Amino acid sequence: VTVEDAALRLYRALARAFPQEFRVAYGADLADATEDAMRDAMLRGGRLRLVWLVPRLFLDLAVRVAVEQVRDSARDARYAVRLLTRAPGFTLAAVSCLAIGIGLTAAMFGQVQSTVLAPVPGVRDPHSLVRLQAPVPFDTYERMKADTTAFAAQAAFLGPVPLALSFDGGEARRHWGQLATPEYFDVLGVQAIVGQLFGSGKPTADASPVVVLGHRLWQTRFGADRSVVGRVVQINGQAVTVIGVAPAGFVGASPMTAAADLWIPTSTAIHIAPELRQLRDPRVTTVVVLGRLMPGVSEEQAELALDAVVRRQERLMGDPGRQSDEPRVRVLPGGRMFPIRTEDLPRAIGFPLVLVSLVLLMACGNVANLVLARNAARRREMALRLSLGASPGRILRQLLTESLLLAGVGAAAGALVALWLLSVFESARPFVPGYVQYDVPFDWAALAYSALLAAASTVLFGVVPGLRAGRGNIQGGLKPAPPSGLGARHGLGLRNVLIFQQVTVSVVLVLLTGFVVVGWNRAASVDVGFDPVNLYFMSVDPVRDGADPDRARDLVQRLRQRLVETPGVVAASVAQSVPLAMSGTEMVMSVRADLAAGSTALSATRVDRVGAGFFETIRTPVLSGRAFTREDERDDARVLVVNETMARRTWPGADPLGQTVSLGDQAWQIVGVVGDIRSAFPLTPTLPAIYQPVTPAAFALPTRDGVTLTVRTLPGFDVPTVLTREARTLDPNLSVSVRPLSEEVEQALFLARTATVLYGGMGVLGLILASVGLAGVTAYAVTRRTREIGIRMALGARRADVLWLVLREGAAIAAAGTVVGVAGALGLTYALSSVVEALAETTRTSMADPILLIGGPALLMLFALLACYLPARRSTRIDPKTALRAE
Amino acid sequence: MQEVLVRTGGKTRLWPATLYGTLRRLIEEGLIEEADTLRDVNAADVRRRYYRLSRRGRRALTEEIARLEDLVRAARVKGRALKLGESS
Repeated sequence: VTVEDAALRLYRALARAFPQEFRVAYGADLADATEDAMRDAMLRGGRLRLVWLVPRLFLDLAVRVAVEQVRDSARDARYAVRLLTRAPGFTLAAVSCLAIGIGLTAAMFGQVQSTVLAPVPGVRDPHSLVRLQAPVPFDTYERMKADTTAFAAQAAFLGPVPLALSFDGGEARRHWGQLATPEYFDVLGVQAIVGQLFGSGKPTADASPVVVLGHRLWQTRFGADRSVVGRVVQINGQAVTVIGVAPAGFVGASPMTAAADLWIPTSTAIHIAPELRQLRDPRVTTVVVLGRLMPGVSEEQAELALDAVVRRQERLMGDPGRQSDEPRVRVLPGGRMFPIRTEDLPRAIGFPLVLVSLVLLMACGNVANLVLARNAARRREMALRLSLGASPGRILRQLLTESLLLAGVGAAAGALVALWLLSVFESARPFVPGYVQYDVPFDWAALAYSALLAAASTVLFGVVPGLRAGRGNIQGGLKPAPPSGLGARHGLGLRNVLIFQQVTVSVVLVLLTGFVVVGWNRAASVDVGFDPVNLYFMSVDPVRDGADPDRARDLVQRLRQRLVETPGVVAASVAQSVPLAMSGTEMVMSVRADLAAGSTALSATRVDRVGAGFFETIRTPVLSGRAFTREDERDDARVLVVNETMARRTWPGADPLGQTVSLGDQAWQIVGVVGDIRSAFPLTPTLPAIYQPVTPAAFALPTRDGVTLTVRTLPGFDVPTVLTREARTLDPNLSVSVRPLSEEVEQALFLARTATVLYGGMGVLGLILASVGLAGVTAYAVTRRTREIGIRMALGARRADVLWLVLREGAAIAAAGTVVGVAGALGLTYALSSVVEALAETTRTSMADPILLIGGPALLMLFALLACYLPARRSTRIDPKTALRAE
Repeated sequence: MQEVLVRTGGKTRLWPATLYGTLRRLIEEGLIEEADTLRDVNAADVRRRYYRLSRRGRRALTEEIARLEDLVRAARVKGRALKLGESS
């Protein structure tokens, strides 16, 4: 074998890459011409000349192959566009299915990516940052810092706390801030853009309190003035020096709770930040601990180390719960916007992702079905083209081009749907408490992923059957379709499977979303234990407004009296922490109940302080004993009211009245039992609760720890204005905020409502997709059987008979799919409930709801039958003469 | 190919794949057609296929020649004008 031969052989092999038509027409000539050229070159200049010629021949070949291929593809694409525009119904249905599936998936993934998985903005190396799930006493934090080696550095913070900022005699405005230990910024890896942050090594003297400003605050209130460093401003009425500004984007270590705009060291004096009052109390959990893990240390190792510290503390303190084996601390990724452990992610995002996957699955199934129906209807066209000399490869290529074009348009439409959905999510955000502004990046990866999946299903179902048609005998395809009903089942198996899958998945989707929506609505409508209608919270903050403690105490007392006497006010009372508010203080403490038989430790008990007349005002029934009176509002009062849950759990079958409970080192006596008040998120179970009477000292504390007045009014007048006016008559400088309780309840239910809309929407989408699929299959059946129907009608079949004939197939599949779907939905809900706790809680009752279990599938069947009926109606309009002439 | 090389004085070499690509395009545009009968029987080679200008191709060629001649003429006039301009 000579070199020339080898080159020529290679050339011929490569020339196969030309499109088939070109190869057939010119392949042989091309090879000959090349051989001639090579021989000619050999004759003229021998091998040397060949060395010059051969590379150029190959280059020429490569360029031409590319050009011819592109030309062919362009032609295919033009043809495909023409075909798709000629079948607008099919194109619209397929593209909208793809768009819904792709768009929803991309939007959901984008949302998850930007909320749950996003890093906390502005921090360095978020992966090695951890935090403790629950706050710990400051004392414990200091022990953790001293006794563990798992961390390169640790810090703690307290917050969000409201801080009133004023300067140059201007108006005081409140901002959310955090009280942080000096290591805070170092641990987070945040550098000052102006001045310095208080962790920068230099210990700050207690004599001159300092503050670090957030970038947003620096821009909005100080006009981004760099000379702000060293300036003295007023915080909560006290002089504080600005030492630096944090970089743009950084809003604290827990942006989902509240974006912080100010940072003050925990070493600051208490009168600037009254929240620090309980910092040194070893029994009160105050600070959130942050840590930067040492390289090579895992979260689990850190958790064990911290757990040991807490247990040691408990032993030292003689904590009643010290014998318990339960883990004391939980380390969470501190660098994530939603501090969720990786292994817990399925709990947080599993359910919505399963729903989205179902929608995507339906969309893919739908498109597959549509494409199959269309290609089946084109069997004759394919056969004709094959018989006219088109190669199977050529037809395959054409089908591939069509499928890809469809998928491409679908993906583009899907991107638009995703962008629209994201903007909807974005606009819904401000209602979420603790909202932080951050960008939702468009998730290209998710878009690409879902588009790829959709394209794969389009291509798979668009091309594979075409391939079969290509291999099948031409004669069979060219012949008119056999009179069906006799042997025309052929080729429909796959389609029936698809439509069955469609109905099943949509039943699952509708039921699953139905369970959640109904469950949530039910949870939201449970008796909250109080009457929020015409109930208002009024918060005043005389200390922050500059009053001294004595005056503040007096002011609150007089205000309460004045409100009670105001016309239109039914009742008014004070509470130090409000058990109704979702955003209220929730203190979970360990307390000990002293029983006749000994003592028992209680944990996870909510402790609130409320004033005289509180339960009457909010209309929570006193079940036994009494509620608080004015006489109980003393510093040395040792009386308690407990809720029903507490009474039932701690003293089952016994009378709780007169029992004692140890709080800290003092014994308190129970004087009353009140009904349960459901607070926070409607799904969380009611905790045992203890109510202590407020003390006059609390009246002088600022809002977060101070008092809120609870006012019940008559309906029909502008309550906020009247109440504010009354307060201002006592002190014209008092800042007052009045908000209706119904608003709080709304806010607490916001998540449930959002979920209702979101999941309900998905269910509806699924229904639409399923209907489109069923309509498609019936329409196809009608087309396929036109001739048969014509014969039947010519022979005297009635319209109803014909209608049933056509409907039968769709109805049977729909019925089978519904049965399997109901089973699947129940199974999937059980399976998911074991992973997602909230889901189990939500669907506990709704899963057995007969209206849902029967009504849901029935509705779907109705839709399915309608979807079958509409195209089937066409069959009854078939003119026997035309039908028989067809084909 | 050889003929093209010779006719253009060795300036243009027509490579085989390019040749057939061009032939295909010319046929698609209707400028040439396959010839059934051979004008030059002596040169006939059974393996070869022959193409000739179609009527449309002939017209296109005539028009193209005319266009190019016009272009050359225009260029010459302009060139002379430029030369005159330079000398004066």
